[in-house]
Amino acid sequence: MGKLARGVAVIGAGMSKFGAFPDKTTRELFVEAFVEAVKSVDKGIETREIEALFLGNFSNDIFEGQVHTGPLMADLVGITPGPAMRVENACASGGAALRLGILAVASGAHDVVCVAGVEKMTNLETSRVTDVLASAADSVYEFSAGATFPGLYAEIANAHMRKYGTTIEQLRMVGIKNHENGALNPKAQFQSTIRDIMKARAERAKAKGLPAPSWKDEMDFLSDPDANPVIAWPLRLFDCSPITDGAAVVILAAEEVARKFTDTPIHVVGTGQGSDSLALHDREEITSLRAARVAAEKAYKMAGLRPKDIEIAEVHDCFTIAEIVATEDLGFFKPGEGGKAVEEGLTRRNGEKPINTSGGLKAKGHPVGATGVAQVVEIWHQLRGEAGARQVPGVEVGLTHNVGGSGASCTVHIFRR
Amino acid sequence: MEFTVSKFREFLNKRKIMAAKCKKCGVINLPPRPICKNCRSSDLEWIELKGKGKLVTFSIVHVPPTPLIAEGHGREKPYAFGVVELEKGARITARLVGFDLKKPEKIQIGMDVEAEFLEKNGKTILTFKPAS
Ligand SMILES: [Zn+2]
Repeated sequence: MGKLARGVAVIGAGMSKFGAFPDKTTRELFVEAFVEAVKSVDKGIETREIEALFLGNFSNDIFEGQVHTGPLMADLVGITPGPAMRVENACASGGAALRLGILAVASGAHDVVCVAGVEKMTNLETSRVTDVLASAADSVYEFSAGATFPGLYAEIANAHMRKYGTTIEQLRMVGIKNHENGALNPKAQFQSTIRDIMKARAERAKAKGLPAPSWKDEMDFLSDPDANPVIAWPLRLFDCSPITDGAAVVILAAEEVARKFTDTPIHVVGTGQGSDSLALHDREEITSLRAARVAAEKAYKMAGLRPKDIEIAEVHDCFTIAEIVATEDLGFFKPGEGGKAVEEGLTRRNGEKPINTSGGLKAKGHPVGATGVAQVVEIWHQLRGEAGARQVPGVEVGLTHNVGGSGASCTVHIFRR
Repeated sequence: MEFTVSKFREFLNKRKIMAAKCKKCGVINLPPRPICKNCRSSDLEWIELKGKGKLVTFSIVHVPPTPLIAEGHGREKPYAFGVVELEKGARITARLVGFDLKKPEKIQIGMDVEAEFLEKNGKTILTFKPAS
């Protein structure tokens, strides 16, 4: 097995602005993304042509006190009375919803479906969001011992640094790069480079009549414990993705009908998903995610491609260390060489393996359930040559990598123009 | 069912670290689970682990979740947790105590640690401290 029964393509994609929006609920975020996705369908689509909704959502139970979000969203845009359901796989909820949508079309059960993700996180104060995110870890054996979500990735970072000599500076370079990309993405929560942020801080201090901070460069700024405080040692604020509100939508169609909607469909050529124990202490390795390696292997095999064939990738950089581990698990770099690759600029937009041109979770934002779908939105734009200022010229094969929790779930998808 | 979360906690309250050893393949399942994580056999037996181990990895948390804020933790009073390996393959996540958290570089992966049982709200909590 490991083949789709029939071909599936992305025929439309859209996302809401990512950020903190006190006046928006999941409803408005979803509709914003949905309307953009429908508009992006080159030859147009009627909502009644969309047969089902697969909605990635992590924890609206707690964030908004509202579950049953599948039909709630479907009703808003007229996908009802077709099937509509929420898919939960922690931070990989979006990627899991995508995979189910792909399988639903590939099976022949549906010709056209909507895959979405949404999360409205900024209602709660940070300490409560910390609790909710930590519930994606093993609540009995990790959370009870004091583990937080940043704390778990800090454990991975410490182990990676110890085993391979990965440096804190290499982690910070991931953040610097992703902010440079995010600065070019109008949908990003942080449309600013680290340098922009430094300047703004210095100006604010001056305006308040405080002594102007004198950081030499980005690395100096990121080493300043006041500017960049520790969240979970060794990870600091700028190693962590933010708390974000946002939604993303893609529309999938069977290859046989895709041309009815667009002359430039983006073909799904590989899908893979893996799982692992929730708790880090139950894993055979801490410096690599087995679920990601398994998902990647399945997706590569289905696509008949190898890591070197991937021209652009959106990977799950919920923390800077996560991007380094991801690029190793995906086979772009050897185990332990992900940090060096960042340092050498290989993952920049003009490098040999551009990673997270959207700004990644770090700068674009991480509305948990939306992330796995938003990654596809970026690949859609890049492969169609519509990514504006952050376009990587001539890319035809792209990959998305979406991780749940500290690695107990992972989906990998490969797309080709 | 024998190898439950509540049984494990009952043993902890008696200051015992108990794991489910697989009679078929010998793997020590810690925390205990009803089916062996290695060979999937359900022929298991309780064994008591000595509280001596090595630090596999760790973190020092400066932004805690609400239960630890309630205990007074935060930026001014961070806490540490980590993964400890007690015997071959038998690992568990636990709080780390007795470390100088102002000097994280002194906490070394691979260092020897030993169990320290703390009493909190009528429950016994398993923590680890630097080995004496
Ligand atoms: Zn066994």
